[in-house]
Amino acid sequence: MILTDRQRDSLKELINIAFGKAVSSLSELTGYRIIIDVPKIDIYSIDEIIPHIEGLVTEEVATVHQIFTGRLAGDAFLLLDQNGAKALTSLLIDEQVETIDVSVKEVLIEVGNIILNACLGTFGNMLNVHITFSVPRLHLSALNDMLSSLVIGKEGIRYALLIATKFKLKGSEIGGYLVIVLGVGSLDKLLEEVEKLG
Amino acid sequence: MFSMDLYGEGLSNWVENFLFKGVFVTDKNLKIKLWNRWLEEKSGISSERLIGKNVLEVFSETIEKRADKYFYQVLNGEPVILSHRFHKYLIKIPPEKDFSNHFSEMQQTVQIAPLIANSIVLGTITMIEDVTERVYKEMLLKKKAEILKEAEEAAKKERDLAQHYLNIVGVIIIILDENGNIGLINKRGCEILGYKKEELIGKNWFDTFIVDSEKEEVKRVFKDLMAGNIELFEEYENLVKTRNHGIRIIHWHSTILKDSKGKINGTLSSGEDITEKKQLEEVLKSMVITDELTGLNNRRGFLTLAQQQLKIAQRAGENMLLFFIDIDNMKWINDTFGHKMGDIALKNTAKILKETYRESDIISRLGGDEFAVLVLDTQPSNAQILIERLKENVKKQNERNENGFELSLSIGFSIFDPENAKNLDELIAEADAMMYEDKKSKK
Repeated sequence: MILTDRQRDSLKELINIAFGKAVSSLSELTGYRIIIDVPKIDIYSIDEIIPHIEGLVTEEVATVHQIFTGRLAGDAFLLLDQNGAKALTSLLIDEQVETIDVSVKEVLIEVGNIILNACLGTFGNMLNVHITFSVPRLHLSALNDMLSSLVIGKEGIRYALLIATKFKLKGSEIGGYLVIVLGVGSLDKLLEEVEKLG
Repeated sequence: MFSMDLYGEGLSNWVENFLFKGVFVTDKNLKIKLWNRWLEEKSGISSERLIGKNVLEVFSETIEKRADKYFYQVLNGEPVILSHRFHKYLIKIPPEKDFSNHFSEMQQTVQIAPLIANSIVLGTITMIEDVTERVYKEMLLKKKAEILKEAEEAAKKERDLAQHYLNIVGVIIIILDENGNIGLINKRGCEILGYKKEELIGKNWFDTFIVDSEKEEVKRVFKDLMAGNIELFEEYENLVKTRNHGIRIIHWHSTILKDSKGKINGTLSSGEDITEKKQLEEVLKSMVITDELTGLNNRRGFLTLAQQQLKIAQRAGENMLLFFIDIDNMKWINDTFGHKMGDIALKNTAKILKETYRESDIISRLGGDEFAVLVLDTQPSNAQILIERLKENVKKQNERNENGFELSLSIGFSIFDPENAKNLDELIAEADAMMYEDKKSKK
């Protein structure tokens, strides 16, 4: 699906605001200066998303998953490859992470929760729609399994808002994706509201 | 109670009394509506003392820990998760006794979610999980991993040191696997063989480095060795074909390697390049003029000394006699009594020659069972006397009958006349021919 320049710009602005909120929360939590880039935003239908994702993350992924409902409904994911997840956690907790144990999982969930909350909350606030969302969960799986779980068993044509991002802290850069999967109705609603912003 | 119907009441009753996690519920003003039994037990604060009170006011540490903003976020509809890594705990509760030495508070993972009905946020629900034991276990595991890592680092250091030794040692150190392929080789080995380490690892030792004439034999021996059929020669020398330095003579010390089950799986060898040493030995050998077995001059010694005497005698006008002596039936002695007895025959002959001739005469073993004596400053007429004396001495030796065989010598001689000087080769040839006649006459 092709976004108009206006839609893209408005979405970008929305994400920028959301990431600003996420960054201040993360910085406050960890005491480190953190930057989240917003380099690229695109919308793909769910079944064509895989090739677009494979560049930045590979193989085994760590995904923080949050379901949201309301007038906008869907699934939101923070997608990191597992080495990236370990590296990010290492930097955040200031300790070498060798394996993703339960405590590391919780840290990832909390970090994912902050970022996803910031995005979804900002969407809700800016678009003036009420969204409620679930407590996040963490999945560790192969990228393909994770993505196919999005495709299988879901009805209707679904779209993914793909936001490629980079976390920069302490001189390191860790790439990841924010994937927001929406039903066609919700997407229309989002774009409609986004257009109003402009 | 906040129940709206019987199911709701049942659920809240279960959460309140039986859920094995901490749960408390607040209204929109963060006033506590429910404080479950688990929390009562763990915190020691009864529900009655808390109901109706603002959670942030009762638990002042929540403000200190700036947890208030999480509650406001939740009231805004956004659930939050607080991991113990960043927050340690939400509500200050003493840890279980087992962990009181390690933690001053119960470590908690906390979920705070909006309590929503009919799309309206009624308040907050907080679930507290005691993760102290898990965190403690993770801590232990981490410590264990650190110790392991330290041990690994120490082992690595040792390996590095060993590698260092391997590199500075002046001999080849090489490990061959059971197929004769190179598994390890040190720097010196690479230098001598003229290859890089990467080129050598995995290469077959015998195909690459053993000279063709010995290859099959050495391979066969190695195969037998690996099969456990034969014992290892712990020390040996062989010829090694190198890339840049030609064929080298290597002196090896080897030991068998076995796997953990005791099966032979290779050899470890150290090899010293003794090519130069060998060459030096050859040079030294060429300078030796004494026969090792008898202590007489060897051929080289005889030729050198005799040559010199020849010149002196010619100048001084002196006569000399050259005797050529050969042990009879030497082959028979060797075959019948063994080489050891052969050696005794040679030694006895030497002894007899020393008894017969003067100390100043040049007595020598030319090789095998041949002896030569150059008798200085003597008259040709003495030749027969000397032969008789020699025979007499042989007879005496045989009368002692120490060895079970009779020693018998064939004798020939030639005369050096300064007036009609013959060279050494001619003198020897003449005496040899006469000795031969003597030998023939006995058969």
